[in-house]
Amino acid sequence: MVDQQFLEEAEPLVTAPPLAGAVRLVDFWTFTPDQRRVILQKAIAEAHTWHFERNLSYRNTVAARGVGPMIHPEDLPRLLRPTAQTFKSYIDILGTPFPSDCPRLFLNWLADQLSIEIPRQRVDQLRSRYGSLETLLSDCERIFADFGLEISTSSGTSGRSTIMVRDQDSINKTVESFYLAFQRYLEMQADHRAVFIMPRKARIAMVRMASFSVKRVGIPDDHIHFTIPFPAAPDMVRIRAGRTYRPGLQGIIERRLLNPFMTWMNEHYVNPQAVQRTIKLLKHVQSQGEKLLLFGGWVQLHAVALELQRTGQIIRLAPGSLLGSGGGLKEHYATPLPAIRADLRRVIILTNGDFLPIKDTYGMAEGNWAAMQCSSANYHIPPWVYAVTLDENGSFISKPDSEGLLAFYDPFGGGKLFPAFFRTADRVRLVNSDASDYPAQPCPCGESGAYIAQDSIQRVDLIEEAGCAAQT
Amino acid sequence: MQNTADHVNIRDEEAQHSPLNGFWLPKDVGERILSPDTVYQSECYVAGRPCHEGQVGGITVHWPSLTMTSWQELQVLLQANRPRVPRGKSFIDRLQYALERVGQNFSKPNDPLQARLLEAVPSITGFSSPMIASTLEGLDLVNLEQLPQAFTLTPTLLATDSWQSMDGLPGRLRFYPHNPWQGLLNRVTGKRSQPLFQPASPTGCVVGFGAGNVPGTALLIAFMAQATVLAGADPPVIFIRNSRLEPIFSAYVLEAIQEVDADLFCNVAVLTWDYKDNPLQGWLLQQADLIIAAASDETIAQIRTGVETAKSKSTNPARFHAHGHKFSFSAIGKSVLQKGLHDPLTGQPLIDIVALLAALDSVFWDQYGCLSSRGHFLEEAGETGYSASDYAARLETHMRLLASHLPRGSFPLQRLHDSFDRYKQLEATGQVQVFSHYNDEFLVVCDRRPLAPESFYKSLNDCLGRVVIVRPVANLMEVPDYYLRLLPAANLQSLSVAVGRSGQGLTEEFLHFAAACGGRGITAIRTVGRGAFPQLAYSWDGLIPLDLVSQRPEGNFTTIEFEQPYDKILETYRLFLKRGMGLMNNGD
Repeated sequence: MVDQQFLEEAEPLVTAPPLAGAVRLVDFWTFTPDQRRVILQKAIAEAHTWHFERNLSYRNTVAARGVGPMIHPEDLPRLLRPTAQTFKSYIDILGTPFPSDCPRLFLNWLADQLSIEIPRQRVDQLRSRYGSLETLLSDCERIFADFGLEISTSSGTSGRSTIMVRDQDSINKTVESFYLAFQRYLEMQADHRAVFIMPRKARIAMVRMASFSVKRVGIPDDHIHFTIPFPAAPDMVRIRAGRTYRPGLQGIIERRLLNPFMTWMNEHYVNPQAVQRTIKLLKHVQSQGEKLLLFGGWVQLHAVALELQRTGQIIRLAPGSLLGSGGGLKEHYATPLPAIRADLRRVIILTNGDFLPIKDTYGMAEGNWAAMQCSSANYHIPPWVYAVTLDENGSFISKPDSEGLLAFYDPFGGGKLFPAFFRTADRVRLVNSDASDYPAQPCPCGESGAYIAQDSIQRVDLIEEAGCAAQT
Repeated sequence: MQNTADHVNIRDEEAQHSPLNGFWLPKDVGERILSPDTVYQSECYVAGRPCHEGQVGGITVHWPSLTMTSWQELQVLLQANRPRVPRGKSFIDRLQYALERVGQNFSKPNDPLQARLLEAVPSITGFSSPMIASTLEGLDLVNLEQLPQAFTLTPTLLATDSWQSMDGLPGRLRFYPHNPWQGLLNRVTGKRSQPLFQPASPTGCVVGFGAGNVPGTALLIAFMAQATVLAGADPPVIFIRNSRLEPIFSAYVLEAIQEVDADLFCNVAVLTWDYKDNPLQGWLLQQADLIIAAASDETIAQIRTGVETAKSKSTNPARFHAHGHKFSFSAIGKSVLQKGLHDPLTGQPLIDIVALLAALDSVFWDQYGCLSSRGHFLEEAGETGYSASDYAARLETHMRLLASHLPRGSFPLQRLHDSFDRYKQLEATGQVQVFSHYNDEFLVVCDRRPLAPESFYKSLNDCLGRVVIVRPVANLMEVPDYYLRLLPAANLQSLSVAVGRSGQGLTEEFLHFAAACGGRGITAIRTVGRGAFPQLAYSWDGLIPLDLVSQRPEGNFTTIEFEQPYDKILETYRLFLKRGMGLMNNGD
């Protein structure tokens, strides 16, 4: 798997911070498989060393696993941290899922997650308590504005948000990553109009990155639209998700009053408004003969389709238009994905009669990349990401085509704040795993490199085993 | 061993490669019911998981899918066999003899049945061969001699107020009625001395459900259902639904018992059927006078619905004994943590004995069994005694010893590693200490953090696959007053305790503690080291043997299975030493 001799004899790619300017992401489509593999493995080793020296949380975790500053090939699995836990560990350490109650402890936790030194004495600038997570995070950003830090979260539908930090460098890398993927797999150009069924203001990482990336493509600001009328503050998302409430009276108010109100508002105002705004934009795009990228969650896209059906409308779009989605179906939804796609294609068609492309994307808050769905419906992982599957013991599965938990190393796109080496909570079928020595099997779409087979992504937070009477 | 209508002896070399029987019928019954036309379902397993047939290392198990006609014929045949079952003391005497013979055979290293079980059961369940072997060797740790006495108990309503003796059996018994006013009502109406139990209708048919991957659940149900003869009752027809996750252990032990004494279980059928087969399930539940279900809470809810439906159609509704998902714990009192205490016979420090036995309680079945202790509460002993950290360090030593003698099963390590990572991070709080290493196939943590209810619950759910959390408490009463109160009473099971002093019986203080634990839902209290070997004469999830043949108000029993806890601990330790069981190194 790893050419240790090559690694030892090759010149170091970088000094510090890792990989700055050494290799462009776009170059990875030009490397041979062997070149790519060696470059990535060396970059992982260097990134590990760099972050080991600087990132307290990472160092503590991997050191407890017996890994030192220099790694051997067999150490690679031990560098992985779980996405389900890493940037949620504040909940265990603070003893509460509400960091706004102990902001100073939270800031210390946050500082421990970073590979850069931030002046911890600025913790005194924080209030002793904040009314919401949004105000806490905004204040943290203000206090460290000179570092250019932006704090983003996961979707928060579980009620317990992942909280992570990006700086301008990592944002640029993520934007670049998304932009390259948009171009390569979605064939997006600057002549699209982009409509996002999302709030304009949100801390949700995927939302932010998607919207930044279309700007990077070159789409002008007045051609980028967000159709959900309200911002999505983390606490609002938490309350509406209905899984985690604050303790005491406030929790009672959240559960008995705010959650039903938000649910009602969502059903009777927010979603209908978003749908109407989206349809209005679709009609405008139709009338102008423009190319459209419409991006939203599956449930939201389906709501648009159902409304068009209900009102007997059909939208005809210029060739090159496409629909995009991401995040899967997080909640139970009665209509399966194939039916959602069919409903969409009944009411949104291309003027040249071609099939309307509906592309799904796979990504996560911790990743600075997204895997876009190709014409063969597989999800292509960017070539600068080292992707493997893990068996139930956390070891690499060395088969070229395997099912297991997806894990990735993103030494180039990950940035300098934390090592982007993660084990996801998704069980997938991965083809052309980087843990395999077999020659690559190209995707039917023609792309080489690692890809996740269509319909194979399955969220598995826990692997339950039978107990004394746990199952039949 | 019945394979088809042609009798195939499992000891036959050729049979070594046939599918194993995941069912059991008495020989004469099988010869009538099974034929070359019988359709079989099969499942293949490797490392505790279903696999494709033919997979390397896979073990294939099969069981017959009987037609409705065959089921009815089976019922007739089992009924006809009932008179052959020994009654009363004869049953226990013959069963003990048979188990001794079975145990002797199992201890022969070249016994093909033993070899096949030790090869197959680990593959099917995921548990290690030494774990299975220890269980087979330890079958006689389950004391059958006490069982007849259990059927002669005459508890009164006084048991709702205070601990009662168990009439010749060591320990105590107490009853917790579901009606919180029952105790007051009894006092006011002067009924406290009245019997708790009333006779139930004769039990002509028992339907059991034994689920999960811990071996022997179906066997346990067979033992308990058959033990009703000790109360003078006629033996019932017994249908037991076998577990798909562990279908062979009970079948093979019953077969081995049959080879010694064909009458003991000639009225029992262990088969597998689909819960969703409503006609069959409905028919079985309608036949039943007693239903014993050891299954997941979801499956029990499903069965309960079926029972209710059957009840609505019957003039004599069945009694339903449900054994769902449970947690068990250990509680170590400061009296056993005093420095200088040791076993006078072996010289072993008591803290090491306690830590070893408590480790055993957690290690057996890798915490995937209800009886496995998930958390160890430790009453800190102050300057004269050992701290929670001292105990945890010794626990880690003994978990490591047991890891080599009773290896962990083939369960995913990732979960264990995730727990390790999480607790290692929590060391930053200064209130958590991890005592094991990443590469260990167990985790020992001393956690002093005050925990919100949700966090405590989550931490318990993480205690699977040999993750043991030691939680210091200032006083043992914190265990029922705070921790157990956070948990659903219906999900609590056993408490393994290490308390007392040499020669000391059950003190008022301990009985007060035990009563509080019972009030929170603990149904069995035994000393450390006995967790994996529950005594059939005592409470099983709040039900005692009398419940098999009698009726009483709704509620749960809690039983204490000893008189002198300190001495019982030493007795257990010496027993394990004497038996070897591949576990003990004297002086470790």
